[in-house]
Amino acid sequence: MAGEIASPAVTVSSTDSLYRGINPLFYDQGQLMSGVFFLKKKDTTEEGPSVGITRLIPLTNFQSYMGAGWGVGELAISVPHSLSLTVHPLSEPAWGVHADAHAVITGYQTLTNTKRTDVARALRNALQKKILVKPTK
Amino acid sequence: MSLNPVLLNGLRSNQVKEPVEFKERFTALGYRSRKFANFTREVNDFPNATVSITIGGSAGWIEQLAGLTNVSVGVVSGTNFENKISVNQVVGTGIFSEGAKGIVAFGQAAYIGSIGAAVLEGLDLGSLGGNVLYANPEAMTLMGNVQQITMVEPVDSAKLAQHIVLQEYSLSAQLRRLRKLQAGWDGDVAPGISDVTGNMAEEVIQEVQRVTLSRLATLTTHLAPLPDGSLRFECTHSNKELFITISDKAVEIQAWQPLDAVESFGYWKTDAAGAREHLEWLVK
Repeated sequence: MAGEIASPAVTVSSTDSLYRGINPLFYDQGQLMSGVFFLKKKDTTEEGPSVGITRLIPLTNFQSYMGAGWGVGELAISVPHSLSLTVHPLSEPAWGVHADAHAVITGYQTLTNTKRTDVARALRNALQKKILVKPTK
Repeated sequence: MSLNPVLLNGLRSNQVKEPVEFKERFTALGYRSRKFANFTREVNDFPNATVSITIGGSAGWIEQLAGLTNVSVGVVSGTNFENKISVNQVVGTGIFSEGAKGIVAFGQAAYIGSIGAAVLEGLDLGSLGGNVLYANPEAMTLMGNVQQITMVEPVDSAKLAQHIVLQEYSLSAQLRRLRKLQAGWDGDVAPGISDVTGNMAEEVIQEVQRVTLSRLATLTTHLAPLPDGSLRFECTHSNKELFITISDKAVEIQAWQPLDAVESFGYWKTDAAGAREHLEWLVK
């Protein structure tokens, strides 16, 4: 359940930015869809949306850990914070030397269904403003 | 000259008037075609009004338009939809809200415009050449007086028609793609899209088309899957946004206004038909 994970190896600061992978199915004619941040009530912390801490991983490396055709967007960590969410660093062994650049967004599990959709939409809107790599079909 | 057989069906004796009679009637009411310049325009006023739409024989947009209650669609028998259908002449672009509209296909070309405007053009500009005169009393009533007419906001029929057709194809094509998604499409454990969900989404697409036509509004609609196997329409218009989320037969709706609002102001559970009132709110 949420919160039952080891202490993070790194900490995030209020000035950090985050990369978020964009599945091509969530990108339609230049418009990002809210599914890019799908927040489920029953998500454990580990199951929260994955992000990369930009100061710890170059864009090209982050992109290489995404699926083929995926895009990449960036948003300030202040965005999830302003939505009362938490960005929790969580080492991801599959990211090799950048394992510690991995983090998850959490804290939405206690929200109501409508609030979770509000939050997912707000995150989508923030990510839409800075799409660094457009997804390809 | 012979009348279009489809139009003939819709013509009743009291609806058919000689052009001269109409002209006199409009003149008596103070109507002259040039006074309608702000809503009735010749094709020359719209250099970009020609839209070419290439569709296949299975395309259902004509049938879909015909299914709407306030739009009459006539297709000349023998029209070959395998060929390009060109909306290549705007005979009238002033469409009244809730007004009668006519989409009449002559041979290979679809002429789109309001019936009332078409009559005027036919009378004064001769664009119908006296060949076909479709006089609809309802359309006459809708024309009201000059003041009412000049208050009507012009609508570019060609642009609207193009938007409707492209939107329908875009959403339907997207739905066809999404129906084929295999489990795990998100790189994780997302299920595919169930038939029930897909069928409900088809109904919502029809509602989107109905509202687009009945309200003459060009709302922006995107369709995407969610990792739980549901489908979500994300619709925007002006400063409003609507999410229509479909999971099997359940349809959930959430709305925001203005666009930069984080908190939604409403959430509803409904069905595909119930989505219509929310779509109408969106374009109001």
